[in-house]
Amino acid sequence: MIKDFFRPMDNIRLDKKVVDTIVFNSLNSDNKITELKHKNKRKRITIIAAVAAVLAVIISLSFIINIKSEQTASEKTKNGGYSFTLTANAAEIKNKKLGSNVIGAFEGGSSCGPYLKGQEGVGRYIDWFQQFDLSSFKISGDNIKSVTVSSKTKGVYFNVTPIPKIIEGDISKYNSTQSGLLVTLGGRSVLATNYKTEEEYNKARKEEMKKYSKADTLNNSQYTRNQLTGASYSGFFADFVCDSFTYNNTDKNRVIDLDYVIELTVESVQTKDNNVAKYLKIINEIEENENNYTVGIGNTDRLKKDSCLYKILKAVINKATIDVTVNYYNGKSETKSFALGSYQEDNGWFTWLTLSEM
Amino acid sequence: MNNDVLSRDEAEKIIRKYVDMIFRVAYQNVKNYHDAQDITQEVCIAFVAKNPNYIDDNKLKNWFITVTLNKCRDLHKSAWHRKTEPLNDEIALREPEAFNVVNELWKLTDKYRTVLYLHYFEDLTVDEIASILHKSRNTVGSWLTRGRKKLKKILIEGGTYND
Repeated sequence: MIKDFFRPMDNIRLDKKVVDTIVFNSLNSDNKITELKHKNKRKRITIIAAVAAVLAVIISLSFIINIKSEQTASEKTKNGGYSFTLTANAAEIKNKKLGSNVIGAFEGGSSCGPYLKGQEGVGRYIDWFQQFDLSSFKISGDNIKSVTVSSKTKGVYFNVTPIPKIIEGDISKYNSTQSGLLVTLGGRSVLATNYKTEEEYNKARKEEMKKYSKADTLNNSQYTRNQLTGASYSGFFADFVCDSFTYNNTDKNRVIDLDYVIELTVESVQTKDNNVAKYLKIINEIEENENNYTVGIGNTDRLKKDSCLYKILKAVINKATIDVTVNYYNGKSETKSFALGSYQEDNGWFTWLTLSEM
Repeated sequence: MNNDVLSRDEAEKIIRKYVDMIFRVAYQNVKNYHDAQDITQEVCIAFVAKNPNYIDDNKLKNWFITVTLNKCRDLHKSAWHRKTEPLNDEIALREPEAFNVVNELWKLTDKYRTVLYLHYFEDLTVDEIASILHKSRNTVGSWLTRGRKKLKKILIEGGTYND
């Protein structure tokens, strides 16, 4: 019988000290949860993202092959006259039947808001911040000196986390004795072998960060930088939280790979929007229902909440664009705008952001 | 329990009674010791913050499971979760061998894993699971049946089960 394989799990327990800590925190503090989480964060090997070695090889080959050749006139025509090309994860989403002008679709998470103190959301995580990893985000072109990515839309800004180059090892050989760092790229585990310690990796990260500049404005958020970074737990751990940033192509790469470097944040704007009020009402209902132990209603309310959150998202990104400006070594520059959009999957459980050519 | 607000001692007693169950439910869902520990802490804090004033034991257990599963879902959707890599921390468990079947459960999709876990490990009835997951009794029943079949296949392929 299958059920014979299910042994009682009464012997699976938390350590007594951990239980004591949980009991103490639960009974004695209104925000010990943050401390515990931060403690556990340190127990993880956390590296924001990585570039796969295979990808690096492909990019390198592409660089070698293409750096000596100028872009042809036909290519420029095909690219709307621009000398650079922006690509994202279009290849991964070709079966999603999105518009032909969509160059990327990025899954978002809705529970990624900061713990804001002194705001309307005192005492709770405001999860109407939705964040989307702009995976496979690359700019290709010859003689690129710098690239500036910017948003002029209120509620739409960037979390930027520079990633140093990673040499990927055999993940299956990872164990406690092997040096190397475990990293994640879009949910895929990667073993970085070119850094023996976190210190080495952090040093490389600092060097990479020097290539970024003008990442100092944050006018699109309704919150201050300190509110977002100082009193927050979830989500806002980027090196730069900004409306706009510039990547300086000091290595003179033909392909500027910003894969998983950019996280686009969409937050609701504090208006008299009915959906915002409705959203707050649903949150309160969820809490009340949980308080009254109305078992089972949580899922329904949460779907309602997600639906409402999606309406807020759509309202914010409707007609929103991001601009990509490329400066060349010959002094010329080009700016191209890309449209944002959205759709939902799996009965509203997951929200996707799209990036389209205009 | 009576209709009054819980005393500190009562709250502590309840937390100590359910803390391991909350941890197990979270662990089978998120597959990570520290995440499960965080969720356990969150659920216990939520319990105290709610200042509950009535409940019977069964409803309380179901409430804990409901809130735990909701928080697991929040974690799965969070940006932090998607961008970090947990250490292999099963070693932190005191009795890791007892998780053998849980390891097989993890090869199932969420819905089958959850109903099998709640039914066999937490001894919840189909009605109780249906209530927690907000699904019909028939749906939970069919998930249990299909989940059992899939688990059986996995166990047979793994050489730990013979027909």
